[in-house]
Amino acid sequence: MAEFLITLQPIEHFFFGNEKLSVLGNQTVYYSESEYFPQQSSLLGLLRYILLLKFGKLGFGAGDESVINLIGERSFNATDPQIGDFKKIKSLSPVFIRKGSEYFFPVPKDNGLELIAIEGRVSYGSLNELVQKTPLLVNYGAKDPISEMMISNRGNIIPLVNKDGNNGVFCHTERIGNQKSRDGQPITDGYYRQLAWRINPKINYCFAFYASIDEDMEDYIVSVPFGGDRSPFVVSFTKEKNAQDNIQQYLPDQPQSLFHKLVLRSDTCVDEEILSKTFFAITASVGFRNINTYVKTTSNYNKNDTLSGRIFMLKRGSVLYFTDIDSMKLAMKLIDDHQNFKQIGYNLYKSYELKS
Amino acid sequence: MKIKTHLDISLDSNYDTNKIINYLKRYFQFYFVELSLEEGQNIIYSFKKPLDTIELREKYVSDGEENYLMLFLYLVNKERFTNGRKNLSFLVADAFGVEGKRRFDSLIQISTRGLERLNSGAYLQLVKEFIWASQIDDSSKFNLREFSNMDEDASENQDRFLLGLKSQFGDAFRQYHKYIAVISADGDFIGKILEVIGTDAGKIKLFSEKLLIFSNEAAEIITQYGGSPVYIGGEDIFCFAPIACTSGSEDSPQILFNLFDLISKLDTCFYNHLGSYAKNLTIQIPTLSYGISVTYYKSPLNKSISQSLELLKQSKYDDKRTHTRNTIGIRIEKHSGQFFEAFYEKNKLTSLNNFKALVDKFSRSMVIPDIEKSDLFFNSIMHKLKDPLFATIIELIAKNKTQLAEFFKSNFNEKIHLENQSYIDAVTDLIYNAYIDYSHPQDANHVAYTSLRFIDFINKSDKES
Repeated sequence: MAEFLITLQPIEHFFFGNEKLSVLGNQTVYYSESEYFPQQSSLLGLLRYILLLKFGKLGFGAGDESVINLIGERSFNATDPQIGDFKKIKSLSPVFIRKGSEYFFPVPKDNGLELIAIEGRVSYGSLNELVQKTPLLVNYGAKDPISEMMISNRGNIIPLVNKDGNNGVFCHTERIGNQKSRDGQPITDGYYRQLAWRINPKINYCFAFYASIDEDMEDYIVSVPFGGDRSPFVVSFTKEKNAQDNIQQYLPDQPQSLFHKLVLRSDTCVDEEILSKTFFAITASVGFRNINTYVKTTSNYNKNDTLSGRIFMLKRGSVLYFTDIDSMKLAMKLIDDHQNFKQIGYNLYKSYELKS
Repeated sequence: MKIKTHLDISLDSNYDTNKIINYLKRYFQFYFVELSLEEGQNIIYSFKKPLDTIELREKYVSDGEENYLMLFLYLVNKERFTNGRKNLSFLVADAFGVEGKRRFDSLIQISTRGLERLNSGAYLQLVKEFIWASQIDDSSKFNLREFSNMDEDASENQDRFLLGLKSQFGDAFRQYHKYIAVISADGDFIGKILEVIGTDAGKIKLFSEKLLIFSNEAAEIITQYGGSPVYIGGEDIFCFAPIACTSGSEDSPQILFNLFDLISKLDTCFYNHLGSYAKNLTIQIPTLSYGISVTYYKSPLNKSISQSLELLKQSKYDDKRTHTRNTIGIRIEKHSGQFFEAFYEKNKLTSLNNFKALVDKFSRSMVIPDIEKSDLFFNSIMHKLKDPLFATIIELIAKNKTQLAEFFKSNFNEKIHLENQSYIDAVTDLIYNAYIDYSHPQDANHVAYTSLRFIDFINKSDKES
């Protein structure tokens, strides 16, 4: 059993799809935009696929015992909070950006902001639920957009999107096409536009994450199709000790002076009641759905099976503030309870306690 | 309470209304701040920071399967077609009147409003046949989980509706009927007013009333034009509108109004209520800035909306320009992906009036002007502006009216050009004034080009099958 640093290098462009859950009207595949990062459940799927590839088990008949012993009986189960049994794959970390020995994570949403409490009352529900102090972010200017940035263990900040040579990670690439029918005839609505991404060709960024795997993957390199477009990625494995502990060091410390706080390091599945434990929170939510597959019935892993139910998660980078340590501990428990999500790299947080 | 009553009437027993109410309480974000202030403190500014802060605490409902809001909106829209209007939703009754419309218009009903006004009977027939026919009438067939996949305004129905319109209305059916405008607008210099009146609760109340009155009138203006207001909050406007629309009165012949006319009317109304108020206080007169995104009816709407917001933002705060605000940022994206855009500064009256004069001359009637019928002709003038060599020369000589006129004469001296000298003169005027009004040649070029293309866009017939 060992921990591995796994890097994913897209060979050309890539496309990570996501249901746009709040689309108004005209929901069409005519135009789609890729996400920046793959879902953790997709990374788990990728590892399961690679193990099958390594052992020559791809395309094996459904229900083959040897397949189940390698990767477990089914894909990620969003509804059962227990740790999943993926046999050789024990756990994953959240995905991040790597550049040599520097690792970049999304900047927490309170970057550069200081929270204080002022006299006054606030309610997040009804007039009956007024709270005694009012939160105020001292240097927050609502009209300045918080653009998406990443920060490294060395404190360097880079933008997610590359524009005007700003060392951003991802570059746009628009792909326009005209689908034709089998015999080459144009079809109605065959025209489509797709906004995919490439990694900035001028800088050696790549995707990376850690995983605990019960198999010797040292120096294993393989090229696999990944993502909505079956885009080719080069995936390589290197052993790294204490990897998943180290990950918490990769965020420079930014403790609050007045409040205990939790910073979410990855997207988090947690009931919304967590917000009632906080004094204040800076949050955004994101939808989640994954594909349920079962080894018993699947031999073609490229085919979409059934979609799981839809949930909304708190987005990575969200910050939760607490006035007392017990409330924060309760919140941490609510997050930790989802062992299934924690296992595959969701629900990871960093807590900051005030020294009294 | 109203929601609960409505749900109790409309839903069958499969749904637990208490569960739904509970969901709605968790979903809607109603936040309050209460502060104690001293005499002389600016009320509005004191609340601004805490309100901005708590807005960052976004609520969410973790279970995404419980989409009761969708259910509610579905019921509001669905109403009871077959059982008469006994169980009419209170929202529909409030918004459209008991005898009025049945639901919020779909995008192609908005974009083709002008045709409805030409012959409402024939139009309604087609709406019934293709748009209402696809409404899911039976609530047992309504699947809460799969709602987002059950788009009633399905692509095929829209296509058939448009084909029906084309065969019914012939030449009156134009290319622009397949495009929809998303308009976002925001007040400029409102902060200046708040600075002056913000310490006086009475004055704030009066000002709020003015904003409310303006909002109501703006909604009327948009509806009269043919658009559909979505959100109007004082100095914030968001609506969908057709690119051009007939006046809807008993006029004969019908006059065609376009987006710029709508803007003009909104601006006048805004001045009447707020501009004159500021003038009396002898402070900067507030204006409206606009972001208008025009896209093909099948284009994803959320993309067009964010485009209009981006244009609005640039109209207000683009630091590459020497001006800010009181500007219309408009972008028209064709189905092919080609687009043209420009920022019209409304205080640059000369070039704006030139544009208006061209519109009055060539795009006011339902009859396609002869000049448009010669496709080649219009295109050659318009597209020359985008030709790099031509554009460079224009940039050098545009501020010299004589040189410009000479240049045009020598470049456009074929028979067809000579026959349309008045048009060429009008275009020369537009280009001349654009380059005088706008100090950045690129801005001038965009304004001139977009003006011509906009006129051409309205006049083009629909060539798609």
